[in-house]
Amino acid sequence: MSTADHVRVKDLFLAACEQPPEKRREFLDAECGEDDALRAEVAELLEFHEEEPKREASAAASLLEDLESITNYRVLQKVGEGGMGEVYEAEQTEPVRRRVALKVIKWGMDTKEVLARFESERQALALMNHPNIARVFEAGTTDSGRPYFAMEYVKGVPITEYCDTHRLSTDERLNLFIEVCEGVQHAHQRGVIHRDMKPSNVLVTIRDDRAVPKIIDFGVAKATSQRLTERTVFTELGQWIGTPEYMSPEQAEMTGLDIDTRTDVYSLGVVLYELLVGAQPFDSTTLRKAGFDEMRRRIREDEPQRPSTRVSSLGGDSEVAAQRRRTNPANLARELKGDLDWIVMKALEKDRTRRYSTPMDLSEDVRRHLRNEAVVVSPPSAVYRLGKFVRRNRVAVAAASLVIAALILGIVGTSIGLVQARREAETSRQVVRLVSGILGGMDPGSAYGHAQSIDEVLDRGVARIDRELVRQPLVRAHLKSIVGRVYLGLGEFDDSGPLLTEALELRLGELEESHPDVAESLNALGIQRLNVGRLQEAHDLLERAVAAYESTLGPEHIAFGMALINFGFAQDRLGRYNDALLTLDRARAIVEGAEGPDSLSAAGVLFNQAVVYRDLGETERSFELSRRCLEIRERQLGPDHTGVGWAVFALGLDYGFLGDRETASRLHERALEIQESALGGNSHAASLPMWRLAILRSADGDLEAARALLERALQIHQGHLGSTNPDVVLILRSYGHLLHRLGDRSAARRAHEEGLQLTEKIYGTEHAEYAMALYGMAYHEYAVGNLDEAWRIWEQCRDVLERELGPRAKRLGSTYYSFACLAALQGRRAEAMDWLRQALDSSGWVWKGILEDTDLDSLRGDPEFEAMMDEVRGRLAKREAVLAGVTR
Amino acid sequence: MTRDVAATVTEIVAGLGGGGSADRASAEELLPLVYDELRLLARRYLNRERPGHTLQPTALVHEAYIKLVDQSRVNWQGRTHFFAVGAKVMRNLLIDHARAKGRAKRGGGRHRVTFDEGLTPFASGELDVDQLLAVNEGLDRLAELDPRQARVVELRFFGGLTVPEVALVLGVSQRTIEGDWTHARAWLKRELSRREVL
Repeated sequence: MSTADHVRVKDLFLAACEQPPEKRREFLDAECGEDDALRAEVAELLEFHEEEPKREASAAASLLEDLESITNYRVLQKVGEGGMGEVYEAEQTEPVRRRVALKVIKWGMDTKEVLARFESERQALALMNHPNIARVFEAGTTDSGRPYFAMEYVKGVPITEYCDTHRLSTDERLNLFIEVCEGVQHAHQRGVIHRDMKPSNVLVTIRDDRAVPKIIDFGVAKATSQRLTERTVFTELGQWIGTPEYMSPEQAEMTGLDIDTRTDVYSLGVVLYELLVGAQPFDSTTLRKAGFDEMRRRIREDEPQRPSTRVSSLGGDSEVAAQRRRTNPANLARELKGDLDWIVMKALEKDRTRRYSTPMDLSEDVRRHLRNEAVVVSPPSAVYRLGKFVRRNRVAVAAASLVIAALILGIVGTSIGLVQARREAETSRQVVRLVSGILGGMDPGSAYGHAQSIDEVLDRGVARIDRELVRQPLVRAHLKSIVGRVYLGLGEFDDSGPLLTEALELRLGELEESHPDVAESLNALGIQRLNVGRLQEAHDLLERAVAAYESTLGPEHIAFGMALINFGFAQDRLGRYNDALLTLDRARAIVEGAEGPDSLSAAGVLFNQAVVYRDLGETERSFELSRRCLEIRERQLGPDHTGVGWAVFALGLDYGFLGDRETASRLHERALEIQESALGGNSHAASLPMWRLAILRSADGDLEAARALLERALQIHQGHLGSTNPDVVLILRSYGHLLHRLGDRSAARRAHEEGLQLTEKIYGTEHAEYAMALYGMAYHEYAVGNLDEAWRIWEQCRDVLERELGPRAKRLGSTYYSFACLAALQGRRAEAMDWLRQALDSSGWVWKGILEDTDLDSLRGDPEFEAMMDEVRGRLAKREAVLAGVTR
Repeated sequence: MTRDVAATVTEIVAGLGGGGSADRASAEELLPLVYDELRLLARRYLNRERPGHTLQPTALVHEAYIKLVDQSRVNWQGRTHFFAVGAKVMRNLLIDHARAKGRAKRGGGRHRVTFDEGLTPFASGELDVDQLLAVNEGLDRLAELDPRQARVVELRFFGGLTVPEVALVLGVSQRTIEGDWTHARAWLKRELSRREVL
């Protein structure tokens, strides 16, 4: 068929549709004339078009008839209609004469899916037998195939209405509510979720002079209508068939998944709220006026007011609500405060794992309250309220920090009132306990994140600390210390410095130097100083921290061990490698004694031991340590933690140094990925894998990729971090080499010069790192052909290294080797051989490239030289064996 | 990352208006962004899929909308355009998925997709893999004859758009859309009946 034909058929079809059905054929005859094909086509389409309405029409007509076909019921009147079904009051004649409510599935709802669910539900319903559930006497199918239920006909009014008209007191209401819970519990035990719990589905009827709540609509809701509700909600905004006021957050999610019995617990919570307060947690009018998305958002996110708060804020309605409970507003609020607040709020938890897990647990707590026993639920702690805040604000990893800010703004604010009411010392302890409890897990090492708004919020938090805690220096110090450490964890070294300094000063003003809080401040500030390149200062602070911990907490305390780790790292950065190793050995003994060899703390020692051995050129040892460190951290932290990212990076370094570029590359990619998602792409932690990846890319000849990576890394250090982190010199050095390879000699030189200057500023001239900067400079001169100048700088480099590391240190190997190359290039063969010998004598030093290095071509063939090459091969094989041992 | 995408999407959606050609061009830019999000959502959904649960495309589009768009900055026209893009994406994703499932195992009753009742050519709103593929092929054939009409079905079926919303997106009158829709339904039913999947 052509497009033109299609359009013609369509037009004619639509025109025919405008006609009344009975006139359509006639209309077609007139329109089509001789064109039988066209007529047949349109007629066929019309048949398909008419199929549905025809069925609907017949459905309506046969409704009553169909109901009457259930022979032992006499239909009296229609009493209700929902989205799915209709309810009729009917009289059953056999086997007993009784009033029943007959609920019939509507026409058009009897799809295969619905019917299947209906059938499986039927069995559960048959099992239900509970005084608080409207009994289902019978379920079956009408002659024409429509499913129906016959239920106990409950002559009653909704529970809220009953309670109000009878002016039931709070306790009386609670007793009724307990029965409702029991009914729902009964159903849950039989695998039936109500999913539409609300007062109008709980009718109170009088049986033997006693008010009995009866839950109606059970099972049918689950069998059928829920799915329809979900669908309908998405179809058109105006047609929300469910009941938003009672809908659980997970129902409001509407992904159609995962509704379990706890959804009923939530709805029961809303019913309880309403029974107690006389209003719903979310005001019905505002909720419905809010619009679809907003309504769902509120259900999922907004925290309702506590019942006691709500009841006092109802204005004139408070009075009414109180009267209906035979009391006055003040007393009502008092009654609700405490237990009942907590019970209701626990039932209304957004996160269902925080709710009562069953209606029974809920009712048990209500009972305990009635018996004046302690309820199981405790007030929702700030910790998990914040936890919820975090969950709701998962956007970026900023959450953790926002929490702190919110906390400081919130808790400090509320605690001010307490300050005046109680003894200050007590209050301070409380605040401190609270805040540190919440933030305990947010020290550097576990709190990370990055977002612009954090700074702002934290700043406000800090300002508030200063303003409102003027006379509580220790509390102030504590809060500042926390915020400072959070900044540190975020890699915001510049922001953390002043806070940590102030915290330290405040504490020193009030406490002894040996006090653990002072030690904590010294320790944190020391770490900060390490990261902004103030190494000596860092060393001194950390030394004091170590001393303070040891004198107060003793030489076996874990805090002392942890401080030693940092101190050891500071010693390493200062180039005191042997001291660092001793310190770390000590730390390891303490930490392993206190927490075991597989603890995270132990992994921290391993990580730093690896750093030192790497600095000494002892790659085989650092490799072992890095592997164990990663193993522990992965096991304890999962795959995505920044601590794991660091360990992966460290292991990548070792693989790279051992010559396995492929594995190294893979590890650095992974490290980068972890850090980017944990801390953001602008973090210090991400800059290092970038740096290493750049070196590997450049070795593979992909210079542009290397350039992009290094420029990003430099951008982080020079654009983002502010102060000079020591690691920037590593990146600058690699950048210098890369620029040279890219052919930009002058830029390369500038990079090396800048690197040298920075290195001197951070490390001073008597430091292996300064020697490495000289090495970079020398290599540059060598690469551009200034061999004499290169020689001169390499001599400086050698002198520093020999002084710092000793003349046979492994790291000197490369420098001696450089002399060998220069000498060979300049035709001084004997001297070259001597330098080469000296290089190989540097504690097992080796380099893969020696075997093919063209600089040494003039030496090749010489038996002495070849003997040395065999030695090189032997060492390389040994090194490979280290890697092979791992793969095995 | 997500934040940036969300900002971009909101930016675009907020700029959408009455549905001129400029709007259509901007809406095109949404496609890759929305695609990524929906693919993630769908994958997450399908990964934890359990028997008895079915995928609801309009629900997923809705979820993506909530995640990506700052609703305070968007009017109903913007929202509609977003859903129109979502419809297109969902169709692609569902068909890819259905094909993969169809290859993996024929006739597995687990993988069903739920559409708005009354919008499918079938008695039930729940379609299995075969039915879904059949509808898709039917739509492809319809698109050859009348691209706009096929688009109307796509928008309603996979995006849950109402007639006025479709009219906005396609820039034609509601009456035209209604005609397209009524005819397309009958047409599709007939097509599918010929293939015996009804």
